[in-house]
Amino acid sequence: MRYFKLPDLGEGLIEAEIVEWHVKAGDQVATDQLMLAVETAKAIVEIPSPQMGIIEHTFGEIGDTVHIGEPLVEYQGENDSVSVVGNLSAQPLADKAPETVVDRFSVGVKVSSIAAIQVSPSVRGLAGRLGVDVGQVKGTGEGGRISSDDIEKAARMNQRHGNSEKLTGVRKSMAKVMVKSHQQVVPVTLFADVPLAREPNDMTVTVAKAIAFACAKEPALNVWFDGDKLSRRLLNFVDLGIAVDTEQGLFVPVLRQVQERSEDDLKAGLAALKDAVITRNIPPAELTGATIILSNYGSLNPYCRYGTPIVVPPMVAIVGIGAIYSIKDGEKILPISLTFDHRCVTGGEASRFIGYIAEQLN
Amino acid sequence: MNNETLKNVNLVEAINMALNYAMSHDESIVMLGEDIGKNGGVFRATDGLQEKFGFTRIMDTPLAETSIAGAAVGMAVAGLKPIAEIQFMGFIYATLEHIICHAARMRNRTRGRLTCPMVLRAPYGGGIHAPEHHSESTEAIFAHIPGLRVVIPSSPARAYGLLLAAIENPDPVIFLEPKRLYRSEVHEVNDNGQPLPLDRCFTLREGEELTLISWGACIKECLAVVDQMNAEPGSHDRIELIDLASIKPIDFATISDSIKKTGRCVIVHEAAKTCGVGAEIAAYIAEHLMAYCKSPVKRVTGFDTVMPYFRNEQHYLISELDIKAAINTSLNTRF
Repeated sequence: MRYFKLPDLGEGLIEAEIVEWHVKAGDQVATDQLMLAVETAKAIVEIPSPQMGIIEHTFGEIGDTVHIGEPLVEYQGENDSVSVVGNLSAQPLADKAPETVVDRFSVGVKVSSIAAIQVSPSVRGLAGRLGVDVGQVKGTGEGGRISSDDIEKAARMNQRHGNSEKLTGVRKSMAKVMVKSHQQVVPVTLFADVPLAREPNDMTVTVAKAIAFACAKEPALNVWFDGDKLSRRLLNFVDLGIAVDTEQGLFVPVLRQVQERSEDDLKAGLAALKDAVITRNIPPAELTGATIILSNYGSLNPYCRYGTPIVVPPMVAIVGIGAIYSIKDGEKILPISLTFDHRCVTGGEASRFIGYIAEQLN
Repeated sequence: MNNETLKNVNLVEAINMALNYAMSHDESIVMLGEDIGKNGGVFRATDGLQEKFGFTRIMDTPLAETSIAGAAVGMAVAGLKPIAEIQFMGFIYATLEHIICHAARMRNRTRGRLTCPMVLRAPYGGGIHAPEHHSESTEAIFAHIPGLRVVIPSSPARAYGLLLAAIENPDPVIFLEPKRLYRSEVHEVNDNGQPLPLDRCFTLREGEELTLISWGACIKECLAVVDQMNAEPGSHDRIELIDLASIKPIDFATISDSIKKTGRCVIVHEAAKTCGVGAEIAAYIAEHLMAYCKSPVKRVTGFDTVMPYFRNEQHYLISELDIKAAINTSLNTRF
């Protein structure tokens, strides 16, 4: 015979009173089927069957007090002497013993880096009715709160001039890169009118080679500079970023190892890069890691001569070239604008750098 | 036994560990309550302590809660650190005269000359099929009284650290233990005597879209819901779960940081709705954070009725479905 005895109910309780029997002798019970309810000094506890089987006998009537270890149920079955089955958890309601779970908690919460928009519910409703996106409105109220005036003003602007458009993709990343540059870099731009010995058939490639030559002679402009730690890394290769204008925005694919490649090889490489940019097939790796940049804005418009191109950290220099023009004796002049980061590069170095470019071109 | 990480520690064992640690390190600590000594407490929270520390430090008292509280106030003012146990929160009302009229205002009344460094421990909340007076969640009564701290842990590790902090605190602390969680979960607890900060809440899960605030036994259902919702396919961490833990004072700085981020808030508590602690949080949000809210604050609470007896308590207690429904309503509503 197999007996089920009143298990330890925990909480220091040693006895319980039978409240209700859910089963009787002869019943078939399944594992976990509730067999009876007992009331302890503190709680009503439903007691499940620890096994399946047929009940031979139940012990005790409603109202009887049973003590821990006294039999409640006898199951039909083989004669295996007097054994106890089941091991009820001490917890009254638990179906199974709890497993150790990992307890994760921290003091305080992470503060969002995105500035929260403050709009009162009524103003939010107004914005909804007027079709204004509150994310596009600058709040002028207390602590930057968006007021109903702000929403009405935005709605009037939208009505007159159409809705504003959020920058996305490369245009958005250009905005971020330019702001970062403006916050960090101390730029100085030098302008130079360089006479050309002859007009090259691919201006970009010719100037690229001239830059590589200048970098070898004046390495201070071909570096990666860490403005926080104030350290620079002089580089012995020239990976030239080429500014490419597209409808979507500005891309700067990188022409690698310019110092050791032939003009023909560079020309082919440049054409491949431009093609990849225009067809939007350029892998992100081809857009990073430049050591210096060349922007040939002169190729876009014959009247553009000078600019103040923006240095993009960690680089320290960018070369801009304008449209070639002729002076009175027919001499061809290439206008060059070189911006350098004066935190890391001296005016002398930059001036000599232009000198080396000029030396190559004339 | 000290400075040891123990696995499989349940909440009531963590309470016992904290009491044991504190008593071992501070001889001025004494404990008093019904059946806490020889018997070890109805929930075994003080099991083995009288054998270890003797009957002069672990004192069995008559069934007289008024006297327990009064004696504790006297001991605290006279230089001891009493930890009084009230067997169930339903029996705590007899202590209010001493707690409200003396313990809470001793520092103020004596202009700081006397303090009342006592802890009043009591199991609270329903869910264990108990008779009347055994399932109360009336933490708001104490939270309303100036001069009292009210602390409710919701895991073994937090119970350990917060109880040590409550004992160290120089003012009276009402320490309410969610008895439904006493044995429901086991965690690793490091018995290193490290208190957790009082007056702060704990972030259990981080999320971006909704702040779920709860405490005590309801944390169990909240965790289940949040873990399920944050793991839904294609979803990121949406729900931030905050365990209030310190019911008085409330860590509004943390709540503000979270709501400025999420803009939505659901508060879950087992206690009745009217004038519950959830109302205080909702009022704070209305006063200070309304402009950050994208939908109205929602409360999921017990009903404004006497906690029912065991047969009906499942209809009173808050279920995972209740919490999930409130979260979904909040997420799908806009001002």
